[in-house]
Amino acid sequence: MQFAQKLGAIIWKDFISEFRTKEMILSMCLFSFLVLIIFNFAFGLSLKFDRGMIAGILWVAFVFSGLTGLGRSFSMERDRGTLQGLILCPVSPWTIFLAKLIGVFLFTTVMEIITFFIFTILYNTTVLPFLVPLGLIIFLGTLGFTAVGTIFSAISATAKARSVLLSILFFPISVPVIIASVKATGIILSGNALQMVFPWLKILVAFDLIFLLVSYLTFAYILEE
Amino acid sequence: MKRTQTLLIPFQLLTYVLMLLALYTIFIYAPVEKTMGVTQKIFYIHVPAAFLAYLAFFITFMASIFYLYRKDPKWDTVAHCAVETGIIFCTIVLITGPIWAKPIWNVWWTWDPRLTTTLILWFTYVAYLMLRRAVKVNQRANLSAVFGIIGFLNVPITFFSIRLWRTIHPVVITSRGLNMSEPMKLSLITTFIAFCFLFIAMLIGRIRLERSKMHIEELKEIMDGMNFKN
Amino acid sequence: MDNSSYLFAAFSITWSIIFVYIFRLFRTQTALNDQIYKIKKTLQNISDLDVADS
Repeated sequence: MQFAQKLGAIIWKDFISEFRTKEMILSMCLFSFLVLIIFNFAFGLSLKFDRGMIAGILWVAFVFSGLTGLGRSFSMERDRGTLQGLILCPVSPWTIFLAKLIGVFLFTTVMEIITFFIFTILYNTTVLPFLVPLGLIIFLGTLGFTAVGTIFSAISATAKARSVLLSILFFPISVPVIIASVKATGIILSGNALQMVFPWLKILVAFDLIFLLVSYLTFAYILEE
Repeated sequence: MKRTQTLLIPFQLLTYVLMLLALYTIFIYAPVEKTMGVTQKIFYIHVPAAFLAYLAFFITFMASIFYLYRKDPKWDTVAHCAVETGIIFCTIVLITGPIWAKPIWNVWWTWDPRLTTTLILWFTYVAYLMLRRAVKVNQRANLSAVFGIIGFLNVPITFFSIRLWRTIHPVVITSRGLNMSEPMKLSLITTFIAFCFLFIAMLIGRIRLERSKMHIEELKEIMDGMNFKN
Repeated sequence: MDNSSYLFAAFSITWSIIFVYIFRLFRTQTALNDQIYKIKKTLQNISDLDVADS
């Protein structure tokens, strides 16, 4: 239970510091809202009928907004000088990674729920019959891209052009997650047979597992000085 | 260093000769393809370059693992140089691909899984070089190695997801099923070997350059040390 | 653009990229070699002076 306690402590710390200002959540939600609106102007009215494209817009809003939150998770530590303190704690690097991941994942999920709600209104999508499969896809997809983002956030934390580097590193690697999530969401929203989602589901699960495994093996090296 | 240096010149000469031989087989020995015409010959560059681009990144992958395991800077040098050489070949693939596609299918870019994965690969390794520039020197090797590993592992997953997304690559290049005549196969093999030699020559040249840079750093440190004494 | 123009474009771009890269490698390597030679000379001079002093 030592592990869970340490994990909880770090997550709680991040949660409390965010709760005081609510800055990150607010800006993430505002940004995703803006993305949804801008895409509507970019593509015009024909959108209302093409579920696949709408799924894409939803995920663009999720990912771009999530990225702003991700950039914060380690750079905040670095700016306040608390990164050294965190490394010196008697916790394994994997615990730090997992704690950061869960923290970002939770914040991103909150943002996604709010964004999703706005999305169903703006784009007139019926979602109630599909909530469970949608929830699963969004869970797996979010886990995928937040894991990628957390690792690269740690890598770029000490770099010069931090957020640019994070984006450059992030996008090529998250291509499979984005493709799979968008396609799966599109299939579900169009009301097609759920079996069609399975291959994409497999890709998402494979990606998440491989990525978490690689993070486990290599995170210690990222924190080394 | 001395011994490999004396082997280098004959190796480079051999590369040059093999390239000339390859060009001969492409333009004179191999017949012109019926349906695609003369532009089909671009394929003799495109395929070996693609194989070598992926090989280069595999080398980076292995070198990154060895670096994290052994912490020997030589592996970091190999990883870095392989990325550069790989980007050159990857660029060649991405340029010859569309030039080949345009006269045949009348589109510059097809979102075909192989070519698109190669595009993502290109971005991944450009990102690797950007990473090396942006981070502090003491962490550079570690972070590059981690990214080198992640980047390469991402390739098969990306390929499968894009393939699931769509497919239109010509059948002639499918794994071992080469729908080509004998002289064409021979030309391909010759060109392939010539490019392999070229790849090795370029990689070794780049590594040598990097070693020279490190050598200069060492010499400068010695010089500073001696000046300090005086 | 007729067919052989495409062929020409592909080959010339490929070889241009390769040649430019190799040429740059060669130039940097020569510059570095010169630098190494100069530094070694300087070190040689310094150690000769040391020997002369002691």
